[in-house]
Amino acid sequence: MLPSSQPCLDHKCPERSQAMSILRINQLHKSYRNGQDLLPILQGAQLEMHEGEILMLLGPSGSGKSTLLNLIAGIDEADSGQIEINGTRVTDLNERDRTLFRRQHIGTIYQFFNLIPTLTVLENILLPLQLNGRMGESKQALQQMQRLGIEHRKQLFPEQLSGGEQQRVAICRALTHRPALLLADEPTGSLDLESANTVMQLFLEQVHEYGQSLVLVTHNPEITTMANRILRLDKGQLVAV
Amino acid sequence: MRSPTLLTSWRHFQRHPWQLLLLLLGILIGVAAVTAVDLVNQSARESFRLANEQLLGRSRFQINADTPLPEALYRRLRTELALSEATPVVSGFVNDGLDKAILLRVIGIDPLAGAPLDQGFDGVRLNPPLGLAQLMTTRHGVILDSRTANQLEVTVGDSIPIVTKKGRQTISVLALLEGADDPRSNNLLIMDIGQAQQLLGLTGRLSQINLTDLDQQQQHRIRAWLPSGYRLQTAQQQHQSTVGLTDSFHLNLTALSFLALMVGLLLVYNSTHFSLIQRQPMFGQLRALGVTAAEVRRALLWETLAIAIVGSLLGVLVGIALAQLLFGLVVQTIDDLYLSNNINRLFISVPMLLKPLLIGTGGCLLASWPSIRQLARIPPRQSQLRYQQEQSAARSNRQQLYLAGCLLASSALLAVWRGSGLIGGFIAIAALLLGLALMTPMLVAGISRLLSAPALQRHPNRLAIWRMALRDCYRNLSRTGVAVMALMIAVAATIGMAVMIDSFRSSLEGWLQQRLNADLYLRLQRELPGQAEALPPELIAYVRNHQAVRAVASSRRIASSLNGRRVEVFSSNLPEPMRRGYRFTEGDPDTIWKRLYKQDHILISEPLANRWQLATNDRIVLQTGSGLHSFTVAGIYLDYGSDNGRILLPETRFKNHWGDARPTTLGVYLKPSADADRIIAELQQQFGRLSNQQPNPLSNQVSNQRPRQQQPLEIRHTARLLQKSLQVFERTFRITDVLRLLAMGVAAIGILGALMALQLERQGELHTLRSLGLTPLERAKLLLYQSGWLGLLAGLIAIPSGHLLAWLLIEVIHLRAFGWSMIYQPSLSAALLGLLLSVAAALLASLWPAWRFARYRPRLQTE
Repeated sequence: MLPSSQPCLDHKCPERSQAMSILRINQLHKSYRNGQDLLPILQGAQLEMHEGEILMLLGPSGSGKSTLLNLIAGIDEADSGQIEINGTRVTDLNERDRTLFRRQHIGTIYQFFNLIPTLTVLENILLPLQLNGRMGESKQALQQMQRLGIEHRKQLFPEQLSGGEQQRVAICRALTHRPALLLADEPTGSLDLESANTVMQLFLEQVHEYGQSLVLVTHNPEITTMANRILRLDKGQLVAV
Repeated sequence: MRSPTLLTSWRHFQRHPWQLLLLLLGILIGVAAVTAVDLVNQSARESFRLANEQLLGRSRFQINADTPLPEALYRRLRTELALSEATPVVSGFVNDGLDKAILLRVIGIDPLAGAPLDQGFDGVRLNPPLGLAQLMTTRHGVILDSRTANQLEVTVGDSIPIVTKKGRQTISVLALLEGADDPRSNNLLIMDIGQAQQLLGLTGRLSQINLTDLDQQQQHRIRAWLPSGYRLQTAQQQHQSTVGLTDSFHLNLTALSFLALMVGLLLVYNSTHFSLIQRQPMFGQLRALGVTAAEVRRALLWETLAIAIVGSLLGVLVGIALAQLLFGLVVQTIDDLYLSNNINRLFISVPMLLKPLLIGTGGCLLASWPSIRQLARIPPRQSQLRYQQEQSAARSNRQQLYLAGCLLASSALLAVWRGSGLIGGFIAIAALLLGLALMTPMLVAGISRLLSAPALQRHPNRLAIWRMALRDCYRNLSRTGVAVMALMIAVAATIGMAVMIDSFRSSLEGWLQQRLNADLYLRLQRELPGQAEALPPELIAYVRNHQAVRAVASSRRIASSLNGRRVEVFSSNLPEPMRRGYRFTEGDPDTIWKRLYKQDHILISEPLANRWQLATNDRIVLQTGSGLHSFTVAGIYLDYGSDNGRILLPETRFKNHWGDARPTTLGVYLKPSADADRIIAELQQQFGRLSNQQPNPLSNQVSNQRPRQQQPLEIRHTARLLQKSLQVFERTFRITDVLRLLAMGVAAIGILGALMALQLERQGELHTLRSLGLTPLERAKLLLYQSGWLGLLAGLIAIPSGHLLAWLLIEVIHLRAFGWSMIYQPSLSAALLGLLLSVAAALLASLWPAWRFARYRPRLQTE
């Protein structure tokens, strides 16, 4: 079942063009060294994304999707080009400021959940609030857990959960501090189809409810129907599908 | 816990308590070794200080000489210089006659010049109160402190049998010193000076004269007035001259304890490094969630600090227990080597314990800092990639290689540069070991890589596990590198010490065989330390005239001082066979012996020459019985008898300067046809118990009417003497064995930690191996092969490293610390033993991880 309010899929629609820009990428270049060789990944990628937009990113393995997400999150550094999030040019920030910016404005979900194994479900979920000094909002986090159906598992450790449950915890953690931009790297890639659909549906419901923007990397064709816009990474460039 | 990073750390160790345990053990053993040696060293120093203070009391100056002072000097001092505050003191040692093996120090004071409690004890009282007359008139009446009384199980009014130089005597307990919470009062007998002189056989003589505060002018006046041979010393000067004797010995012990600490800290680095890189992906996740590098760094520093404090505290506690064990060995060695009997108990105080605590904590923080800094600096994306970690390890290997080169170059420089002194020598050793250790992981990786290739082609099926183990060795370099380094250092130290000790033993044995070349040695039996009685002339004459004797070497040894430091002065008639036992560092022996008989020439030992940078024909000024006198060095002889230095001069010259050259030892050279046993029996029959007279250096000044004493004659076969000397030698190095074992223990723990961490980290891989059909035994073999191989390579690298270390110990440390030169002898047995030890330690450490590896069952997730 899809979310009730379907977003406009055309990024040129009037409603969308009036919305504020949440993410701007300009002439982004990134390559990796493999021994003596330089392997170009991104070669002048360009993108503009608006508030509340759900953008789906496709591309074969090794095309640079995860690299792009890492660069947007400020986890990795670009060779050249700019990334602007919510009016802040993150490519100009130093490592510390990028980290602090990420802590406040970005939520990330990975294919393999990346939960902290030594923290309980609840501690994992509250972690972004704790880091941002917003523990007063923990009640909302509990409500979010309830909505995602993991409240009864809050005292368990990640390894005691199923894959679907772990991904729900990861989603809850990414949403709990209400970041403006969500980045999801194949969030259902390690789940079976049924679990993947359930998790994704819950996830998109939450994104819609709070008007958050989402960049979603996926191979799942069923999910593409939920996106406002679909882009493909081709030869280091972002092209519309 | 407020910090999520700290919370994750805490939970990590909750899940892997063995990792925390091994980390704590590494710190604990290193700190325990330092604590124990430090406590023992400081106790020895404290004992020397207290022994001096026992004699000084509240006084700050003393007049003394190399031999007892005549009472006349004290009387003249009071009358001619009007020094009414001067107090005479007589002291000596006696053994308890109750078979409790307690050495008691007798101090005789003049109750008219200073009250018995003026020995500087605060807040004490006598129980019962004692009148001066009673102390002065009761035969052998003593005051002793209540703790010593308890030890001896005696009380007021009791008589105690004691053993003095004069034989068994009895003392009476007049009063107990109560409330003296002062170590100086331990095993102390306070007596009236006259009674003490009688008891100790020092009638008419004093051990020293104490003086209170003296200004510069008074000091100058006293020094000008004092006859030759007497000196005015401050408490500090006296302390230096006694403590200085054992400085090199303590420094060596300290260096060994720091070796254990160095290995311990390497393992702290190793364990911290492990626990951090193991958690690297988790820290990467935290960083991705917005935890800054500074926050990670701060949290890890707190974590390390907490572990370091706990580990160091435990180390200090274990160190105190270990100190009790080492104390006996050290005291025995100091007694053997320095003839000192001042050390009687272990001193423990809070400041003494703070030092190892700080060293342990600071060392841990320093050892962990590189890993913490590296971890915090890694970009979050990279921290989640294992291959990045191995690449980063490979990069750091190149840096390590450069660093190793610099360290080895510095080591060579310090070894060659004599001016860097003993400390420079120890730094050279540390730099050598660290430099070689830094190269070890690269050598291990290189050899493993080299060997894994042919193995791959020749027996692809049979050697599959072996090949995997070899590959693991270089693939897991970031995990195993430091543990292998630590093992290599510990084994190299073991080999190095063994080679050094073997070389030393061989040099010493050769020297003893040359030096102890007489057939029999005669002296009066010594019941108390430092006691050396002159042999009666009738015995000397009898031996000299005996038809079976071809030569007799008569010797006398006294203590003197050169540049404020004690030296032993030997006088001898130097018969030809005795002269043959002497080897010189340079020059023709015949020329040297001829030169010795020129006016005011002496021979000096190699340690003395090295200590004061003396060469042949240099002049030295010695404190003689008749004042300061200048002598010329005729030659320098090899000597392992004393690291403080010895001086040898002909009997006649000795008599001229010291007054009394009566021999205390005879070396008897028998004719080839003589029956040694028959001569021993003959001598025992005629001279079994002897009368003798004490030396009288100032007979012209003092009355010398003392009772004659009876003492047994001691006749020793050279072979027995040689055996006893070697026993002392072995005992001297027993303490080093304990410390080396500690270092090996720490290294084995390091290997265990490394393998446990690997086993934990490779659970995913294990799952695959299990599903591929590897049996439990094959999985265990994988780890055992890897560990055994690492042990073998560490051992192989340790062989040349250990020999280099031995060379430095012999050519640099021993020469600079003790002045001894010895012949460096590589040892195959030490090398093989070291290799065996290395493999055994590594295999032993891998048993538990291998067992866990074999029993691995994957955790099944429930959907």
